[in-house]
Amino acid sequence: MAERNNQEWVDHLSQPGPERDDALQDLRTILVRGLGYALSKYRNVTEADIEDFAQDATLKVLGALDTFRGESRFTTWAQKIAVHVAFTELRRRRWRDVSLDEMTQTTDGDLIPKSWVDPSANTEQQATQRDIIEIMRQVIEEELTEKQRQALIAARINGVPLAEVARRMGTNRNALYKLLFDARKRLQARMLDRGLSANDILAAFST
Amino acid sequence: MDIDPKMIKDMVREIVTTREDEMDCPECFEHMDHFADLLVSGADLDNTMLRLRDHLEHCPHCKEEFDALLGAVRSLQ
Repeated sequence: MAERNNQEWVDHLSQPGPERDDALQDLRTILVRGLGYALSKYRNVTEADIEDFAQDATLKVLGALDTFRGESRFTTWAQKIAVHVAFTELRRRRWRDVSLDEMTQTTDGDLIPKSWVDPSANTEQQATQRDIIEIMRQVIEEELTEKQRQALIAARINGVPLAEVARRMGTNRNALYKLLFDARKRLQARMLDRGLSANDILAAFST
Repeated sequence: MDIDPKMIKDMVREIVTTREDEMDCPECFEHMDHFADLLVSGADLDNTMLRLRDHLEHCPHCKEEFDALLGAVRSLQ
């Protein structure tokens, strides 16, 4: 496989000819190898999947060559695109038959239990934990919007990928991230209103 | 069903460490390759990279992709 610097990668892939063919072959080899390692812990990924992901990613790389800024190695940039292609498809497969209702189910009635403390914490930590848990419960139940609650349960509690939640809520991943960001800011503000510092709170939950 | 204590602690940490200049997912994706190369080379991180690292602590979905990317890059070293 030929060694190429960033400019050579872009130049070779941009112009038709034998150099492009070689570069395409090398790029696919690199992407397949990288994806094989990146996805090795996911049992439902086949070699055929990896080949397909690499192929799709190669097309996306060719279509986005003019956006490559050279801040990273070309192969890292291309690998980023390949990983994104793979995860988008794997997440879609995993969640395609799951409705929003199912995504937002909690195992019992309370998102945050009424009286949770860490039994391994000391008395002072447990007192702070009770306060913080109560604040979280109150804010989630009384101050967050229904969409924020749904997003919190689906994405944060049930681990559903943001893109999948967003699709079912009729929005996009980034808008959902901002929704959750606003929810976190509100929760943070209420926690700090109690006079505790961020470090105090983190220390109380550090057991 | 008992709640997972780790989940509660993670949620509290994520809430408490929320910052006003937090990066969003598209910006994180834009710079993720650069961050991966910097980590592999051990170079210093500038403010944008520190904000990206912070985003990864608040976004398990971006973090999952980044961890996979980092693994791929390291495997090809």
